[in-house]
Amino acid sequence: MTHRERLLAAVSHRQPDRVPIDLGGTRDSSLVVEAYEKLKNHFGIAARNKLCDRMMRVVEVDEKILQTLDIDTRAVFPGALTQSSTKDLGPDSYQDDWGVIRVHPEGSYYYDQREFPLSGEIPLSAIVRYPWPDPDDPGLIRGLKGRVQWIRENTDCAAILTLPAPFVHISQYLRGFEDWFMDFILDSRRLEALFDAVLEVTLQMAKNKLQEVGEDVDIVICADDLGTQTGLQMSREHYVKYIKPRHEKFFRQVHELSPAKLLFHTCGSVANIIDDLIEIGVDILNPVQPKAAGMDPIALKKKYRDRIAFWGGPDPQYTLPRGTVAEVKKAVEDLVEGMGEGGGYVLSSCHNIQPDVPLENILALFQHAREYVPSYAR
Amino acid sequence: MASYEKLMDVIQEGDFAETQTQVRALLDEGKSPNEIIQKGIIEALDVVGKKFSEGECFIPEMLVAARASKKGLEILKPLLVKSGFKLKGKIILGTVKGDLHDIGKNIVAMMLEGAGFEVIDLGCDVAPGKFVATLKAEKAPILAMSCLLTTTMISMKNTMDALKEAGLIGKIKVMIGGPPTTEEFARKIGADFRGKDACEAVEQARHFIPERESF
Repeated sequence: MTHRERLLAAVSHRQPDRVPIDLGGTRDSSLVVEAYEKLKNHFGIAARNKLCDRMMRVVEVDEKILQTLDIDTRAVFPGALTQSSTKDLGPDSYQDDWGVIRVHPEGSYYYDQREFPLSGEIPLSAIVRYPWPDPDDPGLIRGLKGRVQWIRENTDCAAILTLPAPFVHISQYLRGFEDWFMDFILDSRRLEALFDAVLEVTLQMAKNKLQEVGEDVDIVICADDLGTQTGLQMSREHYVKYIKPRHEKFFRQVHELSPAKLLFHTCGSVANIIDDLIEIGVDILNPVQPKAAGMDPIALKKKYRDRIAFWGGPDPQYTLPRGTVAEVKKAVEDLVEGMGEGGGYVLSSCHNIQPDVPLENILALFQHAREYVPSYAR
Repeated sequence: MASYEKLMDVIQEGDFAETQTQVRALLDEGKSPNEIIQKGIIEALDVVGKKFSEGECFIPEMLVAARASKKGLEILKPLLVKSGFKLKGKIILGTVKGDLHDIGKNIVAMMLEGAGFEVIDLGCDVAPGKFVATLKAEKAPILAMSCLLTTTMISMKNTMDALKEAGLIGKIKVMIGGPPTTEEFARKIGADFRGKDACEAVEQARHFIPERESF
């Protein structure tokens, strides 16, 4: 099988020749800069780093590394706005195209927010008047066709198109987390107005990207976190009323404009809404955080069988950063054995590989995933 | 007519205005500020905290209840102080250096205040030295540290080292919380307790304080 055939078989619930592997195909299955540097040094790569996500400080992985590790996926990341309002505000601070200012605190690996542009007792007019980015800016689709063409001409890998986060993440960054959560109970009208304002922009951004390359890619990914370690961020009733129909709108557009499978990323425990996600068009769930409540991947695979595919890897909270190489390999074997039969599973890191993951564990993850032959294939 | 049941209901509903109305009405009926805190605010927060621990309510419900109780305390705390009532003890609280995440910390702060503690919230990105200086200046017997990131857990260890250097180990109690923390980690760095949620933080603070009210 080619890399692409392997990936497509798995996500279509057909048995591939082996479990396909993703590294760097999305902004949530790559590495933070400091972890990437270890990999680069190991493989003797000197090329400058290019970030695919500045907030998380996550990189585009060098093609040589992807080839050496025999990775099945390649990313198609969005272009930058031509009329961008992104600007550096100092060595450790920047403003993004949504007008959100982030800082990089000393001692942290990531950028975070100290302020939120639409927090507090804001009138609805503040949402209407907000300087939203232009979803029709030609920069957003610049280079997409060229990148897909490069993947097709230079690799036999699956192409993954990244779409903007539909509205949960962005509305949280704008409103501030406390106000966002309290709005569910205290002012749902304002919350819905914000959701709809963000969604109007991201839907159009997504439409433009899908019209550009939707027919040519294999997977489309979008991310909007709904879970915590122990459960949903909000009650299931609130999710169904305010979030589900809007996600359904976003996902429907993906399926209308592209034959690709829809990969949806949500951190944390979302066990209570997997049926809802299937209902509204999610084909593949990522990252399936193993230690989040109800998210044991093998149990989920047994429960959902071919109704939804899973895309993720060993526990990132303990096993990958703190486990031994043997423990990482065992985790890989358990996943391949428990998830891979009949397709329906793509192995990646479970979210981006963090700076505290030892190099030997990173290598063990991908090399053992490539080498291990499961019992059902012997 | 005001009642503790009604006060508990409106706190859980996050009705800030009605919380304050109920508090004023109970005071007008001659109820003491301390009793209103104990039977209205603490009871309500205990109910919400338990429901949260059991997965029956979620972050929005916790936050609005905590905020409503804070609104009630705005009226009651000055009256407590005026009457000479002693708050249970001081707790210095903050999210550690390098970490800007504060929702969990803020909920814990509001619930500790609701439980009658005097909380000095140092905010986020708090350096070890600032924790130490504030503990000394306030003679507070409890330090509560929060973090969200595995990569800022090291700041908790650094703070424990700073406490050791300042001679505060053994003189104060340290509790930690936040998703990446574990009981094992707390033991490893020498903290006294790791709480899995705000409910446990309050319970543990109540347990700590009888041992010492200040150092």
